[in-house]
Amino acid sequence: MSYFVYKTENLSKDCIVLDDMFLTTDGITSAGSKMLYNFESLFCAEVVSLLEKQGLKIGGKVKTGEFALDLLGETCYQGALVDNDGNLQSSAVKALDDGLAKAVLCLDVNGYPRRSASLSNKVFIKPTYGIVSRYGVIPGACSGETVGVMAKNALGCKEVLEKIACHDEKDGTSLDNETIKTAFTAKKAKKLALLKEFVALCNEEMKDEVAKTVKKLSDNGIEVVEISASELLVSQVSWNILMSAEVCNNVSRYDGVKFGYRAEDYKNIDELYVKSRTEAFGEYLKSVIMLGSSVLANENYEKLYDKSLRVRRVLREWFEKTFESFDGVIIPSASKTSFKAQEVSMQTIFDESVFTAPSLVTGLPCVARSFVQIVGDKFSDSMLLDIAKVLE
Amino acid sequence: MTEKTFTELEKFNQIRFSQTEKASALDLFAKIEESYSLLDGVNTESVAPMVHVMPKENTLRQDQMIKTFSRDELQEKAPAVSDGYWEVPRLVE
Repeated sequence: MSYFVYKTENLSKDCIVLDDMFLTTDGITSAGSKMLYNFESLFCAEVVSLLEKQGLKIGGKVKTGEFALDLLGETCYQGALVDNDGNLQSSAVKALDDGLAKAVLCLDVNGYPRRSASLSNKVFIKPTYGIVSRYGVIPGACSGETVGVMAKNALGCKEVLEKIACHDEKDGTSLDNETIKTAFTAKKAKKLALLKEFVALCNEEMKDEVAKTVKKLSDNGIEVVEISASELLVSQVSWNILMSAEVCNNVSRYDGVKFGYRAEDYKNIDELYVKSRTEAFGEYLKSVIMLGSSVLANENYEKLYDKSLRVRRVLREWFEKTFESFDGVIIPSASKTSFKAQEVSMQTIFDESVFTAPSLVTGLPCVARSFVQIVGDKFSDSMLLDIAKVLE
Repeated sequence: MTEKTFTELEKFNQIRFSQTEKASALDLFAKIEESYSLLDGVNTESVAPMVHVMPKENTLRQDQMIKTFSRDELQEKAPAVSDGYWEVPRLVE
């Protein structure tokens, strides 16, 4: 099975590949969903135009899980990508391993690029929210999702990130250029916090890998101090509530009428909607839609949705206070070092989101490498990539 | 989530689950709903909701005409089109 949605004539070790969440005019953009199995956009995502204007070539597009919500791409309507040992592998990582790209742009909606990069000896930078345009990206959970860069090393990430980080008036959440520039200010990390409650959720093999990473940081002059952060575990709940509510709204536009998949047999308009959405959406996405509309229901809105927005501020304040003493915090990327395809369920996706939710719900930048993620203060993107470099 | 709520939400969202899918989804929802109790442990009494993660003023653009897409372009990949209209089953008998 090819893990590419399509390839262009530019495909080479020096090109940029996109995951299937970016609109392009070269071929299909399906977001890993049967709903968009034949969708061809009339315009390109802003980041794609920016790269092309600066002389970089787009080599094609690799598959993602449906709306990039899953663990490692397993919910793609065309099937999961599995390595020789039966472990799930993301298409973005495979493209880098096969030498078919210098970097892959991925949309981080629920942590899949960070998880896959850090478990596969790659680097992924999820930048500060608002420094990279999301115009022309298939929307899922807009209040936290971020366009990021995966590469074999930190330098590769930095080179591409610097090219795509700029103000875009077409994206209402895009920050101004003066502010964006501060993300590339040189600052050296001296002290990081390791969050022990998150490490405790890992299996022994993963704990060993995290310990090795911590040792490498310490050997390179970065002090790592273990701290308690039980209050941060609520990030998972808060993000899942906000994410499912936003996804539910965003995918309500897919109804089989104007574009995308339409069921073959229907007697009336209601059947057209129901059959098209039921046949085209995968099980996990349908469950997220149900959860999303549940948390937005009148009886749950205040105690779940509104509460999560308030909790988001509390979490952000926790990070701000922590950054008074530390340059960043270390969180494992997952509970284990690999995931067998047949063992992954919807419950696994939810369980693993505990590790990736903190930076999504707060919009803070995060770099993933060597089985860990390091979350930094807003606009510490460059510093985070320097830390990742230490781990190479 | 009760079976009744589940059925209501299926209708509301214009989607249906098979019996197997429904059983897995209800199982997942039960576990996720258990985790909601963590929210109660966070004191948010005097905390304002954080809708935008980065401080930003209202975003306005110049009121200028821009190139948009023609109907033909938009309908090129439509599932069913008739005389320039998107075709759907009759709504009013």
